Order: sequence, then C-alpha cells, then structure tokens
Amino acid sequence: MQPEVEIRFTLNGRPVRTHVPPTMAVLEMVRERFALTGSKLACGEGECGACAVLLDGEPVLGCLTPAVDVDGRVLVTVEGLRHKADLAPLQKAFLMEGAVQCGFCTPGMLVAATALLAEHPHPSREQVRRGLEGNLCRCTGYVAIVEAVEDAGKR
Amino acid sequence: MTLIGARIPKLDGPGKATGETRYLSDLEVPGMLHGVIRRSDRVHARIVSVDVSKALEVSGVHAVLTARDIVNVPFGHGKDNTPLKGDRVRCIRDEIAAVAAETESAAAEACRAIRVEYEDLPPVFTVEDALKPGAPEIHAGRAGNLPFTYDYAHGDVAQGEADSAHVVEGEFVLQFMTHCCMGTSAILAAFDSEGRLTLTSLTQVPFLYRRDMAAIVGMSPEDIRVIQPPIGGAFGSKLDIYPFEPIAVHLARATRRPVRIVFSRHEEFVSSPTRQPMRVRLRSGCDGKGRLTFRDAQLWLDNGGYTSWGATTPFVMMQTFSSLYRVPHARFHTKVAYTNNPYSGSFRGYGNLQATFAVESQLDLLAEKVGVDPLELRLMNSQETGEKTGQGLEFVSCGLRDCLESAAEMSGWRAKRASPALKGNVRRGVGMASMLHVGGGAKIYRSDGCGSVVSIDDFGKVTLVTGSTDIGQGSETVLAQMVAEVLGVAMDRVKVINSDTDVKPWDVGVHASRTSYVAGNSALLAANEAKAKLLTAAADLYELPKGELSLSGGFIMRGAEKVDALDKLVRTLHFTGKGELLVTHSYFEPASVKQDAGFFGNVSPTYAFGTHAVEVEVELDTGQVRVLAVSAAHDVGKVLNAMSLEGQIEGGVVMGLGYSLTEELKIREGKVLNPSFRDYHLLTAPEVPPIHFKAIETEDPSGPFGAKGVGEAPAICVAAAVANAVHHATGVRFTELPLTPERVLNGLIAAGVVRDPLA
Amino acid sequence: MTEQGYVRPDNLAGALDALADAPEGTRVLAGGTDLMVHLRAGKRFPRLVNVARVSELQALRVWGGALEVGAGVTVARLLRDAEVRRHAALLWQAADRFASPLVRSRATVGGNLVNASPAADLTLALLALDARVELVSRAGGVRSLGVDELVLGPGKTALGAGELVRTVRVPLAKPTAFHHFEKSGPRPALEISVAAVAVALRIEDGRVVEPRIACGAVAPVPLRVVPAEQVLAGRELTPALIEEAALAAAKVVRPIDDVRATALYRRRLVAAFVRRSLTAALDSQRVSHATGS
Ligand SMILES: Cc1cc2nc3c(=O)[nH]c(=O)nc-3n(C[C@H](O)[C@H](O)[C@H](O)COP(=O)(O)OP(=O)(O)OC[C@H]3O[C@@H](n4cnc5c(N)ncnc54)[C@H](O)[C@@H]3O)c2cc1C
Ligand code: FES
Ligand code: FES
Repeated sequence: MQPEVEIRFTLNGRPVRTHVPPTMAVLEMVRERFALTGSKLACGEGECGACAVLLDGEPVLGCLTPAVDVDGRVLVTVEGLRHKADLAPLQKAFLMEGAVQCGFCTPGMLVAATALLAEHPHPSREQVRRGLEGNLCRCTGYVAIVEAVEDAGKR
Repeated sequence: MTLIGARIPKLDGPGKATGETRYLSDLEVPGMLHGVIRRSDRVHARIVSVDVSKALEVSGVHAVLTARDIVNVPFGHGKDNTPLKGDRVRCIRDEIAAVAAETESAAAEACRAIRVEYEDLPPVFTVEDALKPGAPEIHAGRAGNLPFTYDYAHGDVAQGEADSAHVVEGEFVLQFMTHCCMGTSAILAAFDSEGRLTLTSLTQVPFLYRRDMAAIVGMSPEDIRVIQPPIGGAFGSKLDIYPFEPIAVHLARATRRPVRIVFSRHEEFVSSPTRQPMRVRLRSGCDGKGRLTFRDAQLWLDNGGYTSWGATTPFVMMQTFSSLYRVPHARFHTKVAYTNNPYSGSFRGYGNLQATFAVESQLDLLAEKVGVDPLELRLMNSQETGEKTGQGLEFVSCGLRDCLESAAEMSGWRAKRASPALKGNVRRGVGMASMLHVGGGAKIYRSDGCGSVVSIDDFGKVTLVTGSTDIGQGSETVLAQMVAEVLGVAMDRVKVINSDTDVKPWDVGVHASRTSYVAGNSALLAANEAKAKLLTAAADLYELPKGELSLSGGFIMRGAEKVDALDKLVRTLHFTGKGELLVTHSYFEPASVKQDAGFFGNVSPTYAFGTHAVEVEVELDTGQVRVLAVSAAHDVGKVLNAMSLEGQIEGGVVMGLGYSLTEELKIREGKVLNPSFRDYHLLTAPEVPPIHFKAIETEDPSGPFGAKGVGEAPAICVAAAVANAVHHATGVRFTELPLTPERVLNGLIAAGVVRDPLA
Repeated sequence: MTEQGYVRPDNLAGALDALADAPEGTRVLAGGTDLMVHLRAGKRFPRLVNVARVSELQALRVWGGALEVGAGVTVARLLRDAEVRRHAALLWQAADRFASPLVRSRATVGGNLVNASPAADLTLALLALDARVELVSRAGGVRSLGVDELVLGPGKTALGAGELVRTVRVPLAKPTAFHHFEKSGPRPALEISVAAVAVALRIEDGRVVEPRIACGAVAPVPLRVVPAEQVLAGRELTPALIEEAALAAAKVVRPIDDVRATALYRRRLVAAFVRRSLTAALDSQRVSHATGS
C-alpha cells in the first residue's frame, strides 16, 4: 500500500484532519472518512456534477479532485450549506419551486448554484443556466431548478 | 377544497435538500459485503470453462459463484433468463460469475482474475437476420428466434383503403435509449437468523417482485420482505427483476452476510434495460377532406438476448395505432425476435413514444396531401368525451380538442405556421403532435388494485399506509394531500408509509401512470370512511345531526362552530368503555377490464390526452436543431398538486427532447459504443427551451377529485412534434431518431436544401 | 496501488528535483481532470508529482510584450481575467466553451497542453495565437517550443524526461486583430469537440494579415490549415474568398470516423466553422467601417 498523507483542513466550518492515500478523491474521503454521504458518485468521470463540493468557495468535482489538495483549505459539502438549524435560502427555494424530485442530483446542483450566487448574487436566467451546465438531472428537466436559483438570487 | 390544486412542496424534500437522505448506495449495514458481477465480453458464445481459482486468492474475497454453484431458475416474461449463465452467453451484459468481498475494489479485482474460455457462436444483430430461415438459433427450442407476435385489428383495412383519397406509407426507425437514472441500479440482500430475507430494493413493483424473486431463489414469498429506500430515479427501469438481484441473494446466502451490489455508471450503461428499439412500417389514409380512413402498422422489435418488458410494448402501442384520433379501420402486426443485442425493459411511455412518432408524422403528411393545416386535420379527427374506440377504449372524459387548441394558441401556431421563417443560416418552423395513454393503470394482471390503511392516533396525527410506491415522482405528497383534504387537517399532520411490504397492503406497483388514480382512489376510500366514522362518533357523542357536521382545520365543525378537536375526539373513542381505534382500510379496484385475446376491451378506467407544439430552429451549415419553445397542453383530469404536476411535465418533455435530439445508446455488433455521459448526450440546463404548460381539467368522473395519471404522458409526443417542426422549417421529413446534427445535415444535403460544402 | 511514489513539492525547484530522478512513466498531477479519470479507472503511474502548491506555475500577467500564462493557471482564472479577454480574446472564448464550471475551476492550461488530446480547446486557441510554451528541467534549464512542436500526437508530446511546462507566452493582440472560436454541439460547453476551429488574423488596410486558422478534433493533433491561410493572406475578405478558404481548410484536415461523428461530417463542420469565423470577421469590419473607427 502507498503511504497515506496527513491533511488538515476546515470541513463544513470545523477544523479536521485525516490520513488519505494520495490518489483518493475528495468524494470518497468525505463519504468514507467523514460519513458525509450527501455528495454522490453518479459517474466518476466529471460529467454529471453529483459529487460537487466547494473548495475555498470554488465549485469543484469531488470525484476528480485529489483529497490531498484540500490540505490547508476550506471544504464545504452539501451538508455544510444549511444555516445553523435553518435551511439556506437557496435550499428553501429548491423546495418551494419543486426543484427536487428524486433528489440524487440535488446536492451537486445546490453546490454549483451556491458558487454561482456567490459570484453573481443576482444572476440572469442565462447565467444560471450556464452555471449549472456541469450538473445533470434526469427528473426535473432543469426548469424548476433554474427558477429556484433565480428566485434565491432575487431575495 | 383547499389543498387540491395547490402548490405543495414534497414531503421528502427537506432531507434531499440537506444531503441527509440516504439512498441505497449510501447505506452500509454491519458485516456488509460488496458484490461485483463478472460479465461476458462476447455477444454470442459457448462458455467452455470458467476458472475462478485466482479470484478466490484475492484477499478479502468471501465467495465466488458461477452457474454451477447455484440452482439457476429461469425467469422473466419469456422464462428465458437465468441469474448466472452456465453454458452460453447471448449478449454483452451476460452474468457469468459473481464475487462478494469486503471491499468493492477487492471484488472487482477478483472478477478480473476470473478466466473465462469461450467458443464463439455465429451472432445475429438484426431482426431481419434473426427471422431468416436457417438463422442461428439463440435459444434452443425457440424456433425461428420468434418469441412473440401480436396481431390486432378492427374494421376492415381493405375497406379503409378503398375509402381513401390519400394514402401515405413509410418506415420509421427508433433507437436504443437508456434511462440514465442518476442513482445507478442497486440492491442489498440480507438474511436474518430465521432465514427470512430482507431485500432493500429499488423495485417499482414490490409485491410482484417478492413473488417472482421467491420462485427464482427457491423461497416462499412470505419469507421475503421488500424495503424500498429513496431512489435516484426509475422511469420504468425497475419494473422487472434483473439477474443482479437474485445474484445478490445467492451471494448473501453463500456468505451468510448482507451483500450489496451497486452498479458503476459504465455497468449501468451496458447492463441495464433500454427503451425498446424498433422498425415501424405504417400506412395511413384519409378521405378527400382529411378524415382518417385506416391505419395499417407492421412492427419489428429487436428482443435482444432475453425477454424483459420491452417485448410487451406492442400492448400499449396498438392503442395509439387504433385509437389516437378516430380511425375506422386499423390493423397491427408485430414480430418480436431474439438477437444478440442488449435487451429492453419498460421505459416511461412504454412503446408509445415510438408509436406516436410514426402516427403523428403521418398525420402531417396527410395534411400536406389534403392541403389543410395540420391543426385542422387533427381537430377534424379528434375524439370527444363519451366515445368508444374501435379497440373498445372508453373515453369517459376526453380533452383532446382542448389540448390541440391550447397548444396551438400558446405556441402562436397560426402566425408561425403561415410562413416558416428564414434568417441567414437558420430556418425556423413549428410542428405539433398529440398523444393518448392509459391514465388510470392498465389491467394486465387479474387485479390492478391498491390497498390503503388510514389511521388517526390519539394526538390527531394521520397515517396513510399505502400499497403504492414513490419513485421520486412525488406520489406520497399527492396522496397525503388527498387524505389531508378529506380529513380537514394540515399537510404536516399526515404521514405516509409506503416502503415496506411487511407493513403495507397489496398494490400492483408503479407503472401505466396509475399511482395518482388507483392509489389516490384507494386512499380516498379509506379517508372517507375515517371521516364518516369521526362524524358519526361526534354526532353520537354530542347528539348533533351528523349531516350538519364537517371536518376542518383539525376540528369537527358544525357550520362555523367548533364541536370538538380531532385529537380529543379520537382519544374519547379510544379510551371510553367500548374502546374503538380509528383505523380504516380500503381496496380500490379500477373499473377496467383485462383485454381479450384479440386485445379488445377497456384496459384502463380513464385515458390521458395531450398535445405539444414545438418551435425549432435548424442551422443549415451544421444540421444542428435547436428547440426554441415547447407548448404542452395535457388533459390531467384535475390538477392535484400544481407544483408536482409541472415537475412531471417539464421532466417528461425534456426526456422526450433528449429522445428526439441527442440520446442514443449506440450498439454495434451487440456492443455498446458509448457507455458514458461523455458520449451519451443527456440534455443539460442551457439546452432546455422555455416550456409553456396548460392543464386541461376535464374532471374525470371516476378519478380522485377528477384527476387522471400523467406520469408518462409528457414524454410521448415530443419527438413527433419536433420532427414535424423540422419538416416545416426545412421541408425535409426525418423518420429516424435522434435528430443529430449529422443526420439532419445529411438529410438536408440529400434533399437539395443545402449544397454540400465540400462539393 | 503498490510502489506508487507520490510527491507534493512546495516550489518549482522541488518539483524539478522530483522529476529529475523519476522513473519512466512519472506524471505531473495538476488539476487532475484528465489524470484522475485514469486513476479512478485503475491506471497506475510509478510516480505522481502533485504541483498544486508550486506557485511559480501560477503567473498570469502581461510581461515583456506577451501575456504570460503559468501552466497551473486554471480555465476559471482565464475567464475571470480582464487581460486575457483583452489581449487573447481567442483563448478567452475557448475557455468559455470549455467543459463546465466544475471542471474549469480545476483544469489547467499546462494539463490541456500535455494531455495532448486532438480535441483540446485551449491548445487549439494557443496554436492559432502562435503561443510559445516554456519547458523547464533541472538538467536542461529552459527551452521554448511552439504548440505544434510540443504536441506530437494523441497523448504524445515532446516533453523530455524530467521536464515540465512552466509557462505559456502569448503574443499580445494588436488593435487590428480579429479572434473567433467555433465549437460543435448544441451546448455552450460540456462537450468534447466533434470539430472546433480557432481563427486569429488581422485586417489592415482592408486586407487579411497573418491569418492563423487551427482546427481541433480533425487530425491526430490540433492542426493549422496552412493552405486555407494562404488563400487569405494579403487578400481582401469577400464572400467568395471565404468560401475558397473554407473549402481549402476542409480539404487538408484528416478526420476519422468515431462514435461521436463520421470523418465526412467533421470535414463539413470545418468548412462551416471556417466560413462562420471569416464571415464574422467580415461583419466586424463592416461594423467598424460603419462606426468610423
Ligand atoms: C467533464 C470533462 C469535460 C472536459 N471538457 C473539456 C473541454 O471542453 N475541452 C478540453 O480541451 N478539455 C476538456 N476536458 C479535459 C481536461 O479537463 C483538460 O485537458 C484539462 O485542461 C486538463 O488539465 P488538468 O490540470 O486537469 O490536467 P491533469 O489531469 O492534472 O493532467 C493532464 C496531463 O497533463 C500533464 N501535466 C499537467 N500539468 C503539467 C505540467 N505543468 N507540465 C507537464 N505535464 C503536465 C499530466 O501529467 C497529465 O498527463 C474535460 C475533462 C472532463 C473531465
Ligand atoms: S460523480 Fe463526479 S462528476 Fe459525476
Ligand atoms: S431530481 Fe432526480 S436527477 Fe435531478
């Protein structure tokens, strides 16, 4: 076995540390080491976005980002999006607009949308659509998801 | 009514929006092993030997099974599939061996270490070749590779031809499409100390599944409990049992440990059932005015190596050929033949996308021949409430005419149809198509029923235990709404239990757009009985006339006056001398019939109709088709939950657009060429056009609050509308899907619409 | 996964040391958007040199008459950078059509070059922009190659043992420059090109100067279509000339049939994209005439 590497970082607001094999991806690390199973493995090839997480505020693919690269940085998963006990406005907008059906794509959608709203707090519809271009959804046809993000941007 | 028609968020939404919902791939149980399947890399071969010795040496491996290690019971609609293949493989996904190990990677490594020796057999890749005399026989004893034929007719097609002023004829070729559920196929099998089996399964049909599984793994159905966890999409794909499921049971039995199998995305593309591909030859006729005279359809279905539900799609398709618009004479003949291709299952629409593509394309051709607007031709042939079709389908409510007019109006049909727009390199056009589908289940088994139990506890909390299944479409929310409405309580006072066969009553399962209608009616029966019980009790207790009492806001009311709180009344009932629980139950059996051998009969108690008008833009230099807008009008009976309805419509339309434009599982010589999202193009957010939707409320007399099922409807007529719009824009008729840029450009060049840039 | 070396140097010197004595097959790991796909699929390399912390690869500035882009600069950073948009609009356009925000945040310029895919979009733009790629190694110091000298075939580059890509230098666009990027597909991005065309040229005194046209996914490497450039050089852009150039480009590319498209369609796309690009150039000229600038 290859030697594991020690990393320390902030995970959903808490300082943590762990040891990982150098080729382990962030996705497996959060799921296996920290039992955060919100981020999903739906392809493992960068094509669906179900694994998206925020690294120093930027949206990245959990499945293709080496876990060692989060060393010293700030990682947020879907579980870290809620505001204390309450849901974040974006999460509420997803519920109120019907943007969640089976929900498998939802964590990645929320992460990509959070990053988009951080960059463009009041995005145009086109900006929202482009902001979600890396996230696949088979259930909703994206319409309600785009509306939810636009809505959250209007608050 | 207060809750019916409202926009009510999904009950299971919060867990999904916080990432806390646990799907099967997120569940681990103590002692769980990971199962991985070794599949064939040949499409048709004799298995000479399977050597698992190296696999057994891999550290962490607990069991390696081949066909020799299990009792291999044939199963499936054609009883031609087995969990593991012992002597022969017939398609690329065939299961040869299975490993259970402590980690997924150890199991995968062991699978790779299994040595399989094959002796290739002559393969067959097309229905035409399969049906040739002397073609290699794919299943011994199934002569001619022909497992099924379907024949249907009403009227007299020869007479129809004689009555025709115009006849059009053509062939349509429909591709393999795959479900692409975001959550891949999975199962968890665990035996308890008494030998009872618990299957945590994604099945859409838990009770039939339990019965069929019992036969395959040699158990009694009552010893199998099916638990249905939240699921990452289904769309019909989980209507059948597939080999990986009994394999998980065999692994669990062999290791005495819980075993979970979760497909990789690659495996999902290669090894899960597809939408049934086919070739359709259709002749349609009309008289000089445009009134339809006949339809004559011949279909060839590629059954692949084994039979799953794809082979039964003719059952649904013939309804469209016989009964979408008034057709006095219709004939339908289908051959389903074995090949060495992947096999198909059920997929939202169940053959109807394919049939509608052919039927609605030819309606436009007839309109052109007659010289009338396609909308006029459709209106002229539209059905009305109260009609009975040649096949015996009874339209107790029918909003087709409204759908046609609404879709036309939303799309600006008349103005846009007048002149296809030209602008430099792009041409624009509009096209339309309609659909007919069962809207309240389909009686394909002896019963198409569903059971419900409603109970109210002594705190006034209502629980609905329903036999039905939620596959992400939001049925549990709609059912809760109905119960809350009847009992006059808030949504958050209703809990729905629907995921455990040890608890819930019988139901057929999720298919044929039946859940809102059948499970809805069932829940209503039980809720209404509970209501009656409450009112009677209150009337007795307070000596009031029962007829003046009602339920609202958690209270028994007499006019605007509160008589008693619901919870208090229930407590009084429970804790008084005679003590009575507030539990009611019901079983709802829809008033449909099982069709006869000629496929006549009213198979569903109600039918869904819809029309889509689609506007497209075609780039002449690349062949790229862009959909600019979809206007969809659907006869939904009654809107129950506007939000979940819109979600179903939008999702279905976009799925239909994928079928029209980009999606094809490319199979060459039995092998899947594009088993990844990179090469299998699902539409993404920026590609989705505005979708305008209008619900037509025909208030079906038998539907719950007047509603009918529309789960499948929105995907069905998209492709035909797109092809009709492309024809309007370019004058070129495409009869093969998907309309990829390359296919379209080739067509434009062949038709002389554009010059070959290389010439 | 056994015996796989793994190094995470803190600076360029460390990275060069790690590469200098590395076993054959050693790979630099940058954003990982190509390499991690291989790793997840079970492919193993004797040593991985993770350059995430090497700040010398992060330059992005105008310097010495060129836009200097560090190999570690991500596509997302290119898109956010005003200098890139101004001085190398073509690179910016390619970045805008690249994958998705989730990939752009990690995918790097160096990775795109060295991955050497025939469909690499940034590489295509850099080729049309006449960029120079600077390679460094502990033993050999610095050397500079053109994009066509670096990229030799699918997955094949002129990168020597112990070498890595440090920077890319892109000549600054002149005020008369016209840049245009075309890529196949209905999506703005998230699409591996079936064909792509990058055009950089200048229009001076009504004539085309130094046209560079590069075509992606239609040859083993991103390919300059020199005969098409020759058609244009020194001539006045007219619809007839545009047709001639488009046809010349379609003739010299060497596409193949694959699961995404046939060679014939790819050729047709090249013609269409060259025509579109040059027509846009013609239109931009008309606009600038009309506004008198
Ligand atoms: C979903 C998805 C979509 C994509 N879409 C596109 C697209 O639209 N257009 C496109 O062009 N590409 C696309 N790609 C491919 C990929 O993102 C790019 O090639 C990217 O630029 C690679 O950069 P990286 O930093 O991630 O490379 P890595 O994966 O880290 O490395 C790639 C290769 O480059 C080598 N390398 C990296 N940096 C250096 C260096 N400084 N010196 C020497 N060698 C080095 C590595 O050893 C490796 O061989 C896509 C990939 C995915 C997963
Ligand atoms: S799982 Fe990471 S992109 Fe699909
Ligand atoms: S909600 Fe099911 S995939 Fe998006």
